Amino acid sequence: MQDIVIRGLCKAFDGKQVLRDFSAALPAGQVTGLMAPSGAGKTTLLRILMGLETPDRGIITGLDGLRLSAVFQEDRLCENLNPVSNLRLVTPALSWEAAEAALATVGLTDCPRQPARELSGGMRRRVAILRALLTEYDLLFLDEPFKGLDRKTKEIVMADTRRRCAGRTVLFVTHDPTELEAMGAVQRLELS
Amino acid sequence: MAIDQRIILVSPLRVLARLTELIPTLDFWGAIWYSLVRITAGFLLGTAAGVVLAALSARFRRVEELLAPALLAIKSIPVASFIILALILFSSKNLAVLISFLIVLPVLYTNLLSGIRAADPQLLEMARVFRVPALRGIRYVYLPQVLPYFRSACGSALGLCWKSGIAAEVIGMPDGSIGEQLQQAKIYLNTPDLFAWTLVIVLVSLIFEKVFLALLKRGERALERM
Repeated sequence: MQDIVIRGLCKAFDGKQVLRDFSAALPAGQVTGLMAPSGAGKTTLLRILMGLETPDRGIITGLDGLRLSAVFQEDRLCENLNPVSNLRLVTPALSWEAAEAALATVGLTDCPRQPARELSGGMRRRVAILRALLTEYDLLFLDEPFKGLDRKTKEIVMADTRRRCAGRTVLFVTHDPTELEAMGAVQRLELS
Repeated sequence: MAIDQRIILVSPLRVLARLTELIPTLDFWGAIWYSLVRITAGFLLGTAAGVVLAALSARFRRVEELLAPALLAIKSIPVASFIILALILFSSKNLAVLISFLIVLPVLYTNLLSGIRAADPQLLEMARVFRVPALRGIRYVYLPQVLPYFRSACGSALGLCWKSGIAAEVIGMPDGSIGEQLQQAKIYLNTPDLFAWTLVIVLVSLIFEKVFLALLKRGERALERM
């Protein structure tokens, strides 16, 4: 696996420059933190790396052929599917029992058959995080993944996330420097 | 003047009495079967065509542009004109199939296209990032979002296809159809028959609608399982 290198990335929406000559390197197998005030272009950068937006200018190398995974800012769960089915939607090889066991590690023990639309915000968030961690991937994007979790749950989920993504390339967006530390980020990128 | 005029307004009891006379006859069930099969066929064909064309239009803008004038024509031209044209070109035997089809197609197409277009782009992006295969994505991401539109379109189309199908049969008078029975009732000023058959049409279309929507509901529940 090689580092992902971003050089001179630019992106504007309706004449408003969101990213201007952004350059960085994401070391392979490490967690890279990305911190910036709201509206500085964090999500735009992630969307470009995920292939959901095209940059106006700039080069990204090392992304070709990588399997991506993501915890988006929004949960993006299929509302009619239960947590286990939401996990299995992106990881068909995952057995029902393995999915249930994974849900139990983040405290979701009594809702495997409940449709996602009936889950609380915190429960949905944990399902969204697990969905990203259980699938096969080479590069993981975490866009404020622990937002909305209470302190105790956040600690459990953060520890589980760190354990599951050890040795993987991760780009972790957050506003909280303590989260970067807890996730073992090796470097912190800033966007202004 | 209208009081006690059995030809103009027949009493409900007289209608029920006539209905009890009709029910044991083979012709009664034969007429229901004849119309039911043809109207159902028209409905199913219209639904299938609506689904396929809406999916193609959602995917290819050119298909939508090509279909727009044809669908506008189908929606604007009176049903009676289609019926007369069809009678000139074909026999009246399967007229109800064609007319039900023409009525159902634009309703399903328009609703489904709106449903597909309204699908949550965030979920579609999620499916893309996680490399969810197309068929799996259609089943678990698209279908649950489009089904409410499909259900609503079917609800509207079911009533319309019965009304138009029977209207087509009344004009075309295919042998052994409900429409023919209605036309005979008109010719012989047989108001009890007219009301009895009208009641039958309402009941059959209502049962048809309930059964179809119940099956759809079961299908929706099956979609929640993986």
